Amino acid sequence: MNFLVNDSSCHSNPKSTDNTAAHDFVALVGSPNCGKTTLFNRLTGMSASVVNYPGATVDYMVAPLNKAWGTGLKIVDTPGTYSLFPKSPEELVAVKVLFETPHLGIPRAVICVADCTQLSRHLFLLRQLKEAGFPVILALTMGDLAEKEGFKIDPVRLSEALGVPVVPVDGRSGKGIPELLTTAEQLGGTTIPKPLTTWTFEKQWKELQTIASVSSLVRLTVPRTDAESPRQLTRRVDRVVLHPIFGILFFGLIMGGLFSSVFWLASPIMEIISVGFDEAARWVTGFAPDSLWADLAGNGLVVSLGAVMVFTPQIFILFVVISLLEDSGYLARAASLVDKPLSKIGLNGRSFVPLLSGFACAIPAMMAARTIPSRKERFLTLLIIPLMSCSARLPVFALLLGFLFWGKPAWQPGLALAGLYFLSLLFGAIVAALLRKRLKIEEKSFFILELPVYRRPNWRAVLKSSHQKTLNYVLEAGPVIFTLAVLLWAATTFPKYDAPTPAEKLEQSFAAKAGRFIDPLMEPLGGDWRTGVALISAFAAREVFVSALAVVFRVPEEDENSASLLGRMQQAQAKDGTPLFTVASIWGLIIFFMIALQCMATVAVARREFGNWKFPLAQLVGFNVLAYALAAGVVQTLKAIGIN
Amino acid sequence: MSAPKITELQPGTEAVLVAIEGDRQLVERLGEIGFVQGETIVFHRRLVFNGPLILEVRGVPVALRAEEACCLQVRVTRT
Ligand SMILES: Nc1nc2c(ncn2[C@@H]2O[C@H](COP(=O)(O)OP(=O)(O)O)[C@@H](O)[C@H]2O)c(=O)[nH]1
Ligand SMILES: [Mg+2]
Repeated sequence: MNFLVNDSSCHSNPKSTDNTAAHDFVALVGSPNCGKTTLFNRLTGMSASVVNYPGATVDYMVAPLNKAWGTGLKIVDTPGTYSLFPKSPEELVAVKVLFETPHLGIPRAVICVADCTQLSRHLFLLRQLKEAGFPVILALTMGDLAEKEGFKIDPVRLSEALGVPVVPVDGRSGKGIPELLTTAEQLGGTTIPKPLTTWTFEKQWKELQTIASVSSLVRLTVPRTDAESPRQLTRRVDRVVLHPIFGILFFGLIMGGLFSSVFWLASPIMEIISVGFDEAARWVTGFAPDSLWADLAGNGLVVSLGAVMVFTPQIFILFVVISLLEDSGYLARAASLVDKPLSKIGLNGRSFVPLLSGFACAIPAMMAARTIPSRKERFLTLLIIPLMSCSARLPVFALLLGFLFWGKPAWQPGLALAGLYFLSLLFGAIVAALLRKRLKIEEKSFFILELPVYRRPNWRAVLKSSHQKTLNYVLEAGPVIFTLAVLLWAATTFPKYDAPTPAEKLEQSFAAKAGRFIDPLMEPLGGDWRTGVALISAFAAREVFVSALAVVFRVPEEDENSASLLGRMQQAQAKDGTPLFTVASIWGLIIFFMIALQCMATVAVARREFGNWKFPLAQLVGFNVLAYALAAGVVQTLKAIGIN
Repeated sequence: MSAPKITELQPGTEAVLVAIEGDRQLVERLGEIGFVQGETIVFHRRLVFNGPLILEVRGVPVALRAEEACCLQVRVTRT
């Protein structure tokens, strides 16, 4: 693997160590899923995502110590790593924080976080850290779980055996944190740590033996409180969840439930929001029925904002369900179950979590792909992540499906949406299968994944983080929607803002004139310049498509009582007087949005994760051309067989 | 006669690791997780469609592909 840092080239830059900023940070390191981020959040008051999956943190995070604990220290959280010899990009991040992050300097202390129930494995990293010359403190987490298993770790004896301070902590309650910080204050690196170079198999073996004997030496038996320990429970649940038949059924049920719940759980709330915004728009325009300003405020801003905000409940629910899955410990099982099928198309079981996150947003998903050790599998995963149907597409699909299933019960569009999600997965699989041969990277792939114990999801944390993510979505999309709505409103209103009929005003507008140029391009998709304008706006952010339609079609055509956007879309007519939106053209739009890569933020992140421009540009051009061609193909085929 | 590989055994077997042979990277990683000579491992099950094996080592279940598990040569202690 080419990103290994056994060579000195990737290691500490000696200049960085006499940096004056040195010594003011404490790094948290440890094996995956041992509780580092929980501790980090408690120390800093941040709310970084805590997940019961090995490989949830993929980048390092720096934050000042929370005032409640003291001042002057910065805390750094790192991705989990088993050793100082990284085997995947995210492990490399952790090792780099320790050895060569110039603006951080060298750590005052390294807190090695170890899970009490897995001491015999987690101490391995501690021994390496010590050997490298870091001032180390051992923080023991999950003491509560150990007691449920019927044992307890003696910190005093452990400290004697290892020659490092040992502090039992609980990141969830904050227990042990004052002691941890006092110990950290007292330490302080005097020597400059050096990367390990002489680490052989014999040495590794000896180390592991030492650790095993130390771990058993410091173990004290305590009476078990519960009849069944967490580990036994996990074993029992796994008998069903990993069962050849029930396991697959369960997997299908979970995934189906995940994607269809987004529709049916959200629809009552969406109804309220939608009615609310409609009322607001009417109320605003009511102030001055014929003035331009009232039109801008009511029909431009309120309507377009409403068109997108309506979908926040769905996005929130999607985040909640995904976080629940993450926190329970099921994701590692799901990843193992799909490793075989995924390996058939050149991916890895570890691609599962990035792909699943891709249904929320491609950006964190691409970062999550860092946990895939093999470069080829990682690149393939990165390539198809933008095809996963992200939450910005949700408003678009919901609108288009709402059109197709006009007046039908909510479960029908819900099921159709689940179908679309599945279709995007299938399409991604086809693309991966086709590209795997073309991608000329030869690298050995492996799949080794620890299965964590099941935990009851922490509802409060889940709701809090989902709320935060939804809020971020609104805050990021909001200004874009706002700006484009004003621009589009102006472009569709002027110069003939005082035309006798709304239709004439639109016909004479700047947007219509400019739109004539894209008219021929929209022809094969079964749309006209109005859909074209909305499609182009969607390159600012996909969901803007909905608000753009709302602005462009705000002018009611013949029928006066078409209040909602869907209603106005039903009324919209093409030049020859036939309906503009037909089953065929709506399907064309769905296909287009499924494939097109319209999100520039994704392209920027892809550049960073691929490490070059070649792949992101190929993605950008390839997916958009393909989207257009396939959409046109679908529309023409549907028309040809008489579906219109 | 060389020791059998864990992949040649039936699920439910308990065995002691006698040797780990294979790609350097892989052996290193397996070691870090706890797969070292002398360790007892339990072969819990094989996932559907010849998927990964679930092996328990030092109390933790680990999923790994048959290709990786091939490295693990064992002496059966209980079937
Ligand atoms: N029972 C118990 N669970 C914990 C403790 N600390 C963390 N956890 C849980 O362990 C899981 C992994 O925690 P996280 O902080 O994300 O681990 P990281 O991968 O090391 O950053 C999460 O589900 C946490 O809620 C603890 O002291 N006791
Ligand atoms: Mg973490």
